[in-house]
Parts: sequence; structure tokens; C-alpha cells
Amino acid sequence: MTEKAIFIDTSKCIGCRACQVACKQWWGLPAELPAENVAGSVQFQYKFSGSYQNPGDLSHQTWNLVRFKEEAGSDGKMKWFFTPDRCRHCKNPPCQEGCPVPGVIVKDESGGVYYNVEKCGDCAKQCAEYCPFGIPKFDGDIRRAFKCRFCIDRVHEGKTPACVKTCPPGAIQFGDKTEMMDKAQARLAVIQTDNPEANIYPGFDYNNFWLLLYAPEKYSLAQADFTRKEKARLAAARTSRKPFTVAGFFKPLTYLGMLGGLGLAFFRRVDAGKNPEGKIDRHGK
Amino acid sequence: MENNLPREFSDFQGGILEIRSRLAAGKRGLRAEPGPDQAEERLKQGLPWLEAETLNPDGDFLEMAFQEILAMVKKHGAAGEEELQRLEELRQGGRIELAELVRKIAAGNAEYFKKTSAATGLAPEILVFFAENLARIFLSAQAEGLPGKYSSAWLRGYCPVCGNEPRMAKLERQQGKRVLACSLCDTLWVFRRVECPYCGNSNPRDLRFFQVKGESPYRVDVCEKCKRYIKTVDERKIEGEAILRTEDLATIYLDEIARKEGYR
Repeated sequence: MTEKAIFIDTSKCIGCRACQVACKQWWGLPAELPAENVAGSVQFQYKFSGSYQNPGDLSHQTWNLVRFKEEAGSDGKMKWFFTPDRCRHCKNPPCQEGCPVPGVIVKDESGGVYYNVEKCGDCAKQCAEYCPFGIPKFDGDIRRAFKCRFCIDRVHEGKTPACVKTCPPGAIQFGDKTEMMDKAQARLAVIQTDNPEANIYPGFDYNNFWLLLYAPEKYSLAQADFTRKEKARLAAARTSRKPFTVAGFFKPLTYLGMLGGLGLAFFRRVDAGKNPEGKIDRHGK
Repeated sequence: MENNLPREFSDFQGGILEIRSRLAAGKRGLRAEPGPDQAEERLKQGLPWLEAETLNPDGDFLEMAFQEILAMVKKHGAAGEEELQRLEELRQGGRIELAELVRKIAAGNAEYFKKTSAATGLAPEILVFFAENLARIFLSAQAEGLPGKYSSAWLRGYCPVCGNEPRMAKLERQQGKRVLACSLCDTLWVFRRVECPYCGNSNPRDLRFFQVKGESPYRVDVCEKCKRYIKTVDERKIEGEAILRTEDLATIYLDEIARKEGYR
């Protein structure tokens, strides 16, 4: 099978959420009751969130979500941004790197990345931490991770993914990756004349990419952040007490310094490794 | 004890990590000698792959990286405004050059930083901070080119890529091998369990470690001969992979204790 790709042409998207419904229908995923816009928290109450976006975030039951964002433009008129959000199907999936069990996360020959539900489970949710876009979501009850599966079963049968099949304006397209890239390039060239900010997101290293009219932030699409795991680690080490320094006086750069002189401590480390000429002089090696 | 990072510090360092990671992934404007084809030959001779003094970062890329880091420093108020102003003046006046900072920190040239700090009145940690983080963006992108994870044939106390000292160690999950992480370029390499990476002392009598809590995955290995210490995380006692540059930041309380105990 040749490598495939999904191309989402946001300039054609009408925000109808048919793709979101088709995804749920094909995979038998239940509807989620409206929740407050809090990732992962499903509170069983009907509460208007102020946005068409529902549910508030991707979840283990919602693998494709149309994001809506309203904003006052510079001309005072409302601007409305919407586009479906889902797995980007990375070339070298970081989630696969993070997964401790071999065979759970598969990069298919079609280009899709899917999780083998049978083998997945009971781990430290590293796929979610490693994903630079925060896509995989965990089902706390059965302790397994879920996300868009590239409709791998349909694709292997020569069909298009459910969201592609259903998209009324043809905004979501599917085909050979090279063909999709050509289409995206050609369309970008046309769109750019009226929309100078138009861009391809997140890039052609992925098997799911977008043509966006504005910067990804406008659509609430995450920029790739490969340090999500590290940030979580640092956050976990935060003090529960008040910092020992006076508020306003605290300077993170000199924090290490307060513990014993960052600058000087570092120098000593470097000093010991090198002789004055900067040559390495280490136990006769 | 372990949860002792002020929020500002962890937010700030998280932001810096994100910048480093993103810019290193771009691999723009990175030039160094010698080329990757000569890496193996040099490693056989016990030389690190790169010659620090030949590092030649692209000026525009470097400036862009500097501005991003500077913006993060300002956002979190990590350094005094007068100091940053002074740094800017020195840069305008040509007395501090970013490419030179990168080369000097990669070469471990402490004299340069001491002299520059004395001559300009700029706090050394400001100079070292920018030098380190710029060099890291540059070097970690290079380090990815080195074949073999945990290059196991190296077994030396300095980094196979840039020649700098290790900052932290881990005992890896599968076999408990001791893996060191470079203080500058994040390269990982395997090292002997019973040997001080700083002085080469392998007498077990002089090599000890202490822990804050008995069950903690963290310990501090110390050498009584050279009085140096290195923090170690036991990956078998934590969930997931330990990313050492982050573990280093998250365990600053151990540095504090080690220094109080007279190690450096």
C-alpha cells in the first residue's frame, strides 16, 4: 500500500461536525454529555459553555473534535474559527517511543498510527505525556489509551476514513500522501493571495495535515511541544508550601545561585574537566 | 523535601526547555567541525567528536534563539532589568559576542567567563545562563547525529560529543547500567558503576552514596578523593523514562544538601 494522508482544507470547512458524528458512529463511541470545558472531566450537568465546541476536549470517547473559537476581529466584527482536531499521525510517533509495551502503538504502512487496544493498558500513560500535541486520552475505568485510528480497517479495505467519507463540503480529503501534499501546496498558493497568514500545519512530516487560513493558535490547535513530559515533571516538583523567598524579590535565574552560587559551582565543574589550555586531561586516557 | 521548587522557577525552566527543544529540532544554521564521518575515528582515540573552538553557529539563528530566551527571562522576571540592559549595551558595543559565548562554554573555558564577568561587571550566572542555553540548542541537535543510544564503547568521564562533564546519572531500567548525561548537550553514555567520572578513582572505599529517604529513587554518589558528587536517579524505581536534564532541575534540593555536606 502506498503511503496515505488526510488533508483538511480549513477554507472549505463549514463547522457542521458531521466528521465528529461519523467518527463516533463508525467506532461505536457514545455521545458525551455536555461538560464544562475542562479536559477529562465529565460533569453530568447541562451547562452552556459559551461555545459550539462540545465536548470541551478530545476524550477516550471523542477521537475527532471540531474546535470552535470566537474572537473579535480588528474591525470589531466577530471572527469565527473552526476546524476538526485529531491525531496528526506523526512520521516517527513520540507516543510510540514512550510506550513501554512493544506492539501497542503501530505506525501502519498506510501512514496511520493506531493503538492496539488488546495489548494496551495499566501503565504510566506515557503516550499522552510524550505526544507533543496532547492527543491520546486515557479511559480511567479500563486503563487504556484512545485516539484517532486513521480508520485503519476502512483504509485497508480500500475505503476512505469515516470523517472523509462524510464531510459534506469535501474539506477533509484522503489519498496518496504525495497527491495530498500537491493538493495542499496548490491550494495554499491560491488561498495565500487573500490570506497572507495561510499555512500548512503541522507540516508534511505528518500523515494528517491542515491548510489553515490563520495561525494555529487561532483555531486552538496546539503547537508541537516536545517538552510536555518534562514540564509535567517540573510541575510535580513544585512546592506545596510558599516559596522561601519574599514575593517580588525572587529571581529564578539566581535561584541556583542562592543555593551555593550557580556561576561558581558551574565553573568548578568545568574547571575540573579541563586543563587551562582547554584540552581534556583525564586520568591518563 | 522533594517538592520544593517555587512555581516561578519551574514555569521558567519549563519555558526554557520548550525553546531549547523546539529550536534544536529545527537544526537550522548549525555548523561544527569535524563532520560526522570523522566521529568514529576521533572517539576511538578518546577524543570527543566536536572541537569546541570550531563551533560556528549561524549568526541570525543565534540572535533569534537569544531573543527567545531573553523574552522568557523577561516574562518570568528571572533576571534584573538593569542587568539585562547592561548585557544589551555590551552586545551593542561588541564586547560580548554570542558565538564566542557558545564556543567558550562548550570548551569549558571558565577563565573567559571569570574575566568577562570581572571586566564587564555582569554577574557570572547571567553570562553562563545564556551561554549554556544557546550552546545546548546548538549541541543537542548535533548530538542526535551520534549513532548508538548510550554509546556503550565510550566509558569515559567526559561527553563523547562535546567533551564536557556529566551533570547527572541514571541507572537504566533494563539492566541497571549506569548512564551519564552531559551537562551541556544532553548526550547519554554508559559508564562504570564503581568509578568517579570526575577523577577516575575506582577505589570502592572512597565511593559512597547517600539518600534523603531510604525508598527514594534519587541518590547522590560522592567521591571522597576529589570531593565531587553526582546525582543519580534509579529508573527502576520510577514510572517511565527519566529525562536527566529535567530530573536535574527537579532535584535541586539534593545539590543543596550535597554542598552543605562539603561536596561540590
